[in-house]
Amino acid sequence: MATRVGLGFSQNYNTRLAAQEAAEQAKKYLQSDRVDLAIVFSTTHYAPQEVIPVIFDIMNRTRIIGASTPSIILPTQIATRGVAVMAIISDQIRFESGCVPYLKLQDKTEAGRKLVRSTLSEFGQKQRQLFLCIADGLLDGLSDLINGMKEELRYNIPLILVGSSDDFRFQKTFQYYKDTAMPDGAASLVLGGRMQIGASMQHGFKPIGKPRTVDKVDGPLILSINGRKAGTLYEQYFGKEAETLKKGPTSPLSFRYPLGVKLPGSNQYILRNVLGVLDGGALICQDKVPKGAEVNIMIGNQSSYLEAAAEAARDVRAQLTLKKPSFVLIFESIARCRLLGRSATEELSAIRDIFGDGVPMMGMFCLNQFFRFSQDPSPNPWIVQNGNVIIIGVL
Amino acid sequence: MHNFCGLFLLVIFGILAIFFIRYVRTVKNLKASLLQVSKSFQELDTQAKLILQTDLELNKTQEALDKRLNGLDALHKISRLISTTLIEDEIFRRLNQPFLVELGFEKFLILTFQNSSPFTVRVDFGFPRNEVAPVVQTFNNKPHILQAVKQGKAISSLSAPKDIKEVFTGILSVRQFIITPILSQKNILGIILAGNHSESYTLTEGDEEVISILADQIGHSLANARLFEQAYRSSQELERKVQDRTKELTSALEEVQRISKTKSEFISAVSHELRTPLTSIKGYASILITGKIGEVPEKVRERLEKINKHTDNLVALINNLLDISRIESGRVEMKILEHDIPSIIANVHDLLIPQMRDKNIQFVTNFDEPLPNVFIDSGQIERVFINLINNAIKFTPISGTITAKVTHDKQKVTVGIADTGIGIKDEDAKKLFTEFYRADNEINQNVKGTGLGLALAKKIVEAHGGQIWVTSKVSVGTCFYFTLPTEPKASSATAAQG
Repeated sequence: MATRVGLGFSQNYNTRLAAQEAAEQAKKYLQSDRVDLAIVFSTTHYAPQEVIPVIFDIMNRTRIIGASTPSIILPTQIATRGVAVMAIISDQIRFESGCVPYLKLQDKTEAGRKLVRSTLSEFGQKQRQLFLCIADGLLDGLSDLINGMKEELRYNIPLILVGSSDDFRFQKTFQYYKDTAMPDGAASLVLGGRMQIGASMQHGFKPIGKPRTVDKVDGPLILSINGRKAGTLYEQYFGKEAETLKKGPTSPLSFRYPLGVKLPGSNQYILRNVLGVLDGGALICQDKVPKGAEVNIMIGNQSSYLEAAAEAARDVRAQLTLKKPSFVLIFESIARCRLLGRSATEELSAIRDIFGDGVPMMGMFCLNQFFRFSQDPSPNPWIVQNGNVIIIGVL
Repeated sequence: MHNFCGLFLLVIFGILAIFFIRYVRTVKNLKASLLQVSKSFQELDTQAKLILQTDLELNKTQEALDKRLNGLDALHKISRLISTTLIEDEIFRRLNQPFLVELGFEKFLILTFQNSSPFTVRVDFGFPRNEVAPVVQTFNNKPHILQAVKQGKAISSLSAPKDIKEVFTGILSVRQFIITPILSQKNILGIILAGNHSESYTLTEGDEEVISILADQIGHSLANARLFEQAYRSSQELERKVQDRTKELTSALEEVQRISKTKSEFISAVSHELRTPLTSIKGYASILITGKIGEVPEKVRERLEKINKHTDNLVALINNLLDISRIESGRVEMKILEHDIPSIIANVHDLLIPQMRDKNIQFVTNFDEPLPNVFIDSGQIERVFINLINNAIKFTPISGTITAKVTHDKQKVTVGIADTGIGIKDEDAKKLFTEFYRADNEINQNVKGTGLGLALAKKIVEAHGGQIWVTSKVSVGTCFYFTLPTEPKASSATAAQG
C-alpha cells in the first residue's frame, strides 16, 4: 500500500449527521479501519464543537487538523455550506500533529516555539518535509508566531501558515485538533518520510502608481508614508471612496487594492490588506510592515488572479517532477473568493486540469498566509501576507 | 617664460571656462529632463489614479452583475425544483437547500399562514436556533407591523422609513433586509424575510426583484399545490361516494339477480308443473272431441274445442316463459352454425303466408347484395322472425305492406321488419321488450297475447351478441331492427349467456 486518500463531503442540515456522513464517506474510500490523518474543513453553518468529536470517533481517534472556513474547495465545486473530510493512510508518509490553545493570552513568539516542540516531540528525528500551521486568522501578531516557529525549527524546513476565517464577519474562527475545536488557537501538522512535496504561493497583483516609502510604523499600524499621513495614500487615488476603508475589512478597497510591499533586491511584492483607517490617518494592517519599505497600491484582474493560481499549480507539478500527486491541498485568501466571484470555479478547473482528473483535492479560504519553501529563490520575509493562493501537492 | 606661463594659464582657464559652460549647460539640460521625467511620472500617477477609479467602478459593476447572475441562476434552480411538485411540504423541503445561500443572503425565513392563523415557520436558514421562535412570535403578536406587507408591498432596508427599518433590523438581527409577501392572486399566503448581517453583502434593488420573483414562484407553486390538494380531496371524496354507491348498486344488483333467479326458478318449476296436467287436459279434450269414447253433443264439442284452443295458448305461454327463463339462466345451449338470412326469412314467409293472405298483406324483401352469412342458432332466430312478422301482420291493416330489409357492415348484419300499421307511441316503445308488457291500443284490446313474444325475441338476439330496438311513428308504421354477428363467437356457451 502506498498512500490512499478518501474524500467525504456532506451538506446535511443536521450538524452531527453532516459530520458523520462526510467522515464515513471519506473512510469508505480508504477500505481500511486504520486512518493516519484526517483533515477537516467545515463552514460556519455547522457548530464545530459538535462536528469534530463525531469525526474523531469515526476516524478511530486519529490525528485531526482543520479549520472553519466560509467555503470549502472540493475537486468539482466550491461549496458555500458543508463539512468536508480528507482521510489519509500511508506507509510512506509520516504525520504528526500538535496545537497551542488560547493564543491571545500568550506571547506569540513563545507560542510558536511551543507549537513546534509539541508537534515534533512525537515525530522524532525522521526526515521532516513540511510544517503546516493553521492559526486563528483574526489574531494580531501572527508574524511573531511564525518567528517563534522559525527559531524552534532551526533549520530550513518548509513552513506554511494560514489564518482561518469565518463567514466574512471577522468575529470568530475555529481551529481543529484531534477532538477539539478551538477558537483563538493554532493547530499544526508535520509531514515527513519517503515522500515528495511541492508547494507554491502566488497572488497575481501588479503595482500601480508611484512607489512610496513607509516612514513611521507602530506594530500593525502604518502611520506615515512619504512624510504624509498613511491614510491619504488611498484618498489620493480613490477620493471619497477611500472613506469606505473606515468600515473595516469588508471595504472593496481593502481586498481589491491591497498595499504591495516590495521585497529588497527582488521584483516581488508581498500583499497587505488594509483593514481600516484610524481617525488619525493611520492605516491598520493585518500584520507589521517593515519601516523604510517601498510600498505601492496593487491592482489585478480576474485573468491575472486565475493565471496566478495556474502558475502555482504548474510550479507544484514541476516540483513533483510532473508526477500525479497523491493529494492536493489548496489554501486561498478569502479576498480571492470575492475577487474571482463567479470565476472561482474556473480557477478550480484550471488547477484540476494541471494535476489531472481523479487527484483528491480539498481546500479552504483563509484570512492570511505565510509561505517559506526551501526551493524559493528569493525568500520571503518572516511575516504573514494576504491575497494569495497556496497550493501543496504531496506525492 | 613668464609670458609662456601666463599664456598657458590663459589657455587652461579658457578650457576650464569652456568645460564649465558645457557643464552648466548639461546640468541645465539634465534638470530640464528630470523635470520632464518628474512631470511624466506625475502624469503616469494621475493616469494610475484614473485607472484605479475606473477599475473600481468596473469591479463594482462586475460584482453587482455576478451577484445578479448568481441570484438568477439560483432562482432558476429553485423555480425548477418547486414547480415540479404539487405537495406543499415538499415545496418547502426543496426550498431548504443551499440554493438559497446563492441568492446572496445569510438569513432566510419563510413563514406561511392560512385563514388568519398564526404564522408557521416553513424555512429557516442562517438564524441561530434560539432566534427563530422570537422572530415568529413578534410577527404573530404584532400584526400591525405587517400592515404594509399585507397590502402586498415589499419592505426593504433600501426603501423603508427609518422607524420601520429599525424595527425590522432589530427583530431579525440584521443590517439589511427584504420582507416580501407571498401572494396568490390577491391572497397573502405568507412572507419571505431575507437579511444580511455582514457588511460584505450590499443590498441592491436587483435583490429586491430577485426575492420578489421568488415570492411569486412560491406563491404560484403553493396555490397549485393547494388547488391540487383540494382537487385531490374532492376526487377522493367522489371516489369514496362512487365506491359506496357502487357497493349499494352491486348489492341491489345481487338482490335483483337473486330475485330474478328465484323468479326464473319459480316460473320454471311452475311451468313444468302446469305443463303436465295441461298435456293431460289437452289429451283428454282431444280424445273426447274425436268421439271415440262416445258421441259428443255439438254444444259440448264447441266447449271442448275451446278447451283445446285455450290449452294450446296456455302451453305456448308456458313454453315462452320456460324459454325466457332458460335463456336468462344460460341453460339453453345454442347450436351456432353458419346460415344465410334470406333462406330463414323465406322459410318464415312460407309459414306465415296464410295469415298474410287473410289480410291481403304484401310481403316485400330488400337485401344488400351480396349478404354475408351469419353465425346463429337458426331455430331460435326463426322464432324471432316469426314473432316480429306475426306482430307486423297483427298490426298491419288489410292490404298493407310488410318489408324485410337486411343490410350489413364488417361485423354484423342488421335486419329490419317494417309494417305499415298503426304505429306505437313513444312511451309504449320504451317498454315493449319488457316481459308481460302490452301496448295500450285498440288491436291489443281485441286480440289476446301473452306480452312475452318481444321479451323472448330480445333474449334470443342478445344471446347471439346482437341488439334489438324499435322505431315507430303513430299511424305510419313500425320497424323492428335487430343485429346478428357475421363472425362466430368464442363459444356457444358464451353466446348463450350473453
